This record gives sequence, C-alpha cells and structure tokens, in this order.
Amino acid sequence: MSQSELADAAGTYQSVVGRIESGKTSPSLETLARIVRAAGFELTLSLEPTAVVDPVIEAYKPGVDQTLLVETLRMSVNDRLQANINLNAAFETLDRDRGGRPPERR
Amino acid sequence: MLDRLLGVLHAHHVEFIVIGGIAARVHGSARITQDVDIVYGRSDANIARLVKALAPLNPYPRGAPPNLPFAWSAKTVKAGLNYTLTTTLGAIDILGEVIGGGRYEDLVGHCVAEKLFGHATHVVSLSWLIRLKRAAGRVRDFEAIAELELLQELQKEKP
Repeated sequence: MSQSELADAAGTYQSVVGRIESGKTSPSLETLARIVRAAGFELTLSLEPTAVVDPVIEAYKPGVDQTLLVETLRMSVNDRLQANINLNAAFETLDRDRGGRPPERR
Repeated sequence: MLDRLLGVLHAHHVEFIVIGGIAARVHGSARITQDVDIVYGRSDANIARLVKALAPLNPYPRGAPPNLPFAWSAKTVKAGLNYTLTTTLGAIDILGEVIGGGRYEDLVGHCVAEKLFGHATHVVSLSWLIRLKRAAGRVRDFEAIAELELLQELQKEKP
C-alpha cells in the first residue's frame, strides 16, 4: 500500500503519512487510530505497571547464560518443547543408571 | 508425554492456560521443566471435561502415600481448587486459581495463542508469567525470573 493509498483510506494527506513515517511529526491518537485502521489493524492501548527493578533478581542476571537464550530463541516453539521432553528423558535414563539418585538439574 | 497430555486436554475441549515452566520454555527459557502447570476454568462444564480428559490417565496426588481414598471426580475437583497430580503421561498441576493472576477468566486476557504440537493453546504472556512468578515469591524462582526478564529484554531488542 502506498502512502497516497493509505492517506486516502484514512482520510488524510499523503504528506501527513510521509511526515509520520519519516518521524518528522508525531500524530495525534485519533489520526494514528485512523491510519492504523486504514491499514487493516486496530489500535489498542493498555496500561501496564512500570517494571519493578528488584535488586535480588538483578543479582541473578549475570549468572544467566544469554548465549543459550539467544540459541533457544532461534528454535521454533515446538522444538523448544521437544528439547525439554528429550532432556527429561535423558535425565530419567541417567536416574536409572545412577540407581535412582537424582542428578542436579538447572 | 507433554504433546500427548496437551492433546488429551484439547481433545476434550478443556479450557485451560499453560503457565509455569512450560510457558517459560515457550517464551524461550533454556531451563528444563518436568511438570505441566495449567490454570483451568472452574465452570461445571469445564470441570466435567477436565475430569473426563484426565480420568484414563489415573491422576493421583503427587507425592502422597499410595492407597489414599482419592477419587478423581468432578465432586473432588469442585471441593478443592489446586491439585498437584501424577498421571500416566507425567506430572500436571491443575490450578483453579493462581497467586497474582487469579482465575482462568482473569488470566485469559493476558495470554498469547501458540500452536503447541499442532494445537492452538493459550499460554500466559511473558510479562504476566514474570508477574505470576514474582507474586509467588519463591526463592527457587529468583533465577528463573532473572532469565525471563532477560528474555523480555532480548525480545525488545529484536528488530
């Protein structure tokens, strides 16, 4: 959809859409809602509490392997769950081999 | 087992929301989890569906001594609220209400729809999962919360 088509559908000018897209102007909520609707979406707003910074939680963050998180995020959701299933099965096998003594798990 | 457990719940049209460690995995957590935690709707019809779905899996209170007079029935579920169960398909925690999130009706608006093993499933959103874990206040969750908050930051960084 071109800027002109979007502007026509939203009842505004192509120059307005262009200025918003380039970040030169901030539209009013009403204008933004009209443009968003013209593009086939619905603008919704929600109130979310400000994120609370908990020093205890912060202290744990350096210990989290972020490389592992990035790798996990690259997987599909089903692959993430399948990996969980496979790892649990491996741990169960390990449990049996160790005579029922549970290994340490993260 | 997880795929089959979810399949059984969907096959019986149980209204439920995945929370806990499985929800964390869905959102990208690298932590391993063993049990499935769900918040289920407390309507009579849904409890009947839940009972019917799990009945063939021999649900029994997890960690309880054997031979308790435990009957898996709608009456039992209605009389209680939250149950930690073992089944032939693995451990499942069924929660009528969860600290920080309330009941199914309260939480369902804070979910994402994810296709898990082919089934469109309500999974609590990452921000609400963090909220639930914070509200639970368990020391063992601190590292998990740190990981979830980092995931939130990583996802915000995505172009």
